Amino acid sequence: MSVEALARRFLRDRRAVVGLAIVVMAALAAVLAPVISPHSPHALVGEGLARPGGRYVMGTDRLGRDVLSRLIWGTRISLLFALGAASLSLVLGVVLGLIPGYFGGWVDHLFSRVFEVFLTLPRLFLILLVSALFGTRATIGVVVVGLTIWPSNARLMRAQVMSLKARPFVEAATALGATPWRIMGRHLLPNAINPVVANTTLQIAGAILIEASLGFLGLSDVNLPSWGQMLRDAQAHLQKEWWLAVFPGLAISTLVLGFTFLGDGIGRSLDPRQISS
Amino acid sequence: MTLLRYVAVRLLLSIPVILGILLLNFFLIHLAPGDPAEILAGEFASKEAIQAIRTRYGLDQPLAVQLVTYLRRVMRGDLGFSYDYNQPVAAVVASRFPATILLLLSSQALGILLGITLGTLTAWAYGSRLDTMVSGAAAVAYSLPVFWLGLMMILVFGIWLRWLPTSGMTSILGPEEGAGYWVDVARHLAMPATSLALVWVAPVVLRITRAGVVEVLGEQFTMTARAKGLSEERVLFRHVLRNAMLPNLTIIGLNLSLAVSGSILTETVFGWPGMGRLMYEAMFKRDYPVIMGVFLITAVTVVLGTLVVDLLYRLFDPRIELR
Repeated sequence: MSVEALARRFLRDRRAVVGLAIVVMAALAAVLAPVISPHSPHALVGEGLARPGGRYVMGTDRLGRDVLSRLIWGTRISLLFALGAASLSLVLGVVLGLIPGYFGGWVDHLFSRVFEVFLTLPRLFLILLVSALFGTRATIGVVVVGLTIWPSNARLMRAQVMSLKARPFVEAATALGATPWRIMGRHLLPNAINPVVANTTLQIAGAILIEASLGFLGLSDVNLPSWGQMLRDAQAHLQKEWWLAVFPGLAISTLVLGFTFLGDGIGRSLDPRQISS
Repeated sequence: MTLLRYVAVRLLLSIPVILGILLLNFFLIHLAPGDPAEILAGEFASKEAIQAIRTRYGLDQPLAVQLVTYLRRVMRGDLGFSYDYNQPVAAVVASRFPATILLLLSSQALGILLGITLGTLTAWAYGSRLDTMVSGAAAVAYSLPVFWLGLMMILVFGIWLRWLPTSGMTSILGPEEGAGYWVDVARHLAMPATSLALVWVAPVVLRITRAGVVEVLGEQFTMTARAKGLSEERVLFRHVLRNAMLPNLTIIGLNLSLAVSGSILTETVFGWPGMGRLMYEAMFKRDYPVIMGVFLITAVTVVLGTLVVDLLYRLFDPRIELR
């Protein structure tokens, strides 16, 4: 199907468009953070715990930092973390799905067991264990999340490759003497990757939630303004300054919803037989 | 293949998975910066204590020997010793296990009930405004950070309305036995279980049920049942729901590890004394034996839970051949 036809179908899907709009706005906020945020996310700009409205649109936190500015900069942290983890998952998923799908047999059996181990691991517990042993740097978080979420991509890729490899064009390539790596790279990968891309978009949503969870549990870099950490700090102020807990939560939910709608939309426009949800 | 044989094969197949988890646990501590004996001994251990652990766990032996020692120890149920609790790790974990299971089971039950009801309803009204609204609400619920929903529930039902207790599993001066005790526990359980059910169980079950019911409604046996003149309720309960339920079981199985992960957040927000909370506290006290023990036990619980769900699936659907 042509790219234009795909785009037309995507744009007719109201939820998909809403998702795209949310994601584009968040990306803009992340890129333009230094320009659009009223203050530095670290600067102590006024008295602590100011109410929202007035001089500070969303109020200030306990130390007197502007909540709106921290939220805007938090978009950057959240997106960078999630995109990093999802990219790692995409690469691992594609490669580790191609191999068992193409070779089959005992290779496939071996990979299936490995997928199973990774799918069964309670992800957050593993991340906690790794953070406890290796420290809480953001890069470690990105890598661990990427390393734990790839199996669903690999499974999709494997299924696609298995159904494709019986097709005449693959047989033709084999008959012409193409090496397995060439068949995988040139013939199978481009034809199999679409659903994996849709799934990766959904994984970005999941990774945003994980990043927020790590911040909330006190496992993110304290020098970065992360949404989860803002919620962690807000816990102590729930009685009186409850708004401190409202805004970061709304930001996380909106961005996650955006990527979910976008991912579902991509999936639907690639495979219109899917029941709309 | 008989069912018994199938159970045996599935059990055998879960051995490599559990072995994989054990290997991961073992190698992580060796890959970590620092001496494993010092890590296991805790922050304030003396030189003698560290040396004692090194000898006891054979940490001065070659890696292969250590691995065998480790596997042997775990097989015997020895998960190490927590110097923080001054108890064997197995005992510490066991004392927190029931609270997590209670939270998990009640949130799964609540979420499944809600998801199936709403899923059937939306499928019945497929494409209507009600369908759009409920399905949209489910997508939003699925996007909420479970700990944030917890905070918002505490704010509304605990702080503003004062209907429910916001932390712990029992009241300090509450009844210690009988019906009064269980009412007290139920009141404490209400918010954590609901938040988990709303975010991590109900939306998924709703989605699967809706898709399943929509599909089954179009199948021939449904039309036959209607043509026979059966009442709509009978068609729905006898023919449609029974067949639409099956995919749910698979999803619930797959979701188990997610739900366990979610419990750590919920337990932290609500101070629920389960394994998630234990893990969280152990993190900050650098109580590595407990961290690794909790990780191992939860992972194995998930493997076994998935196995049970898988077996139920085979039992309920006679069409599936036991391979």
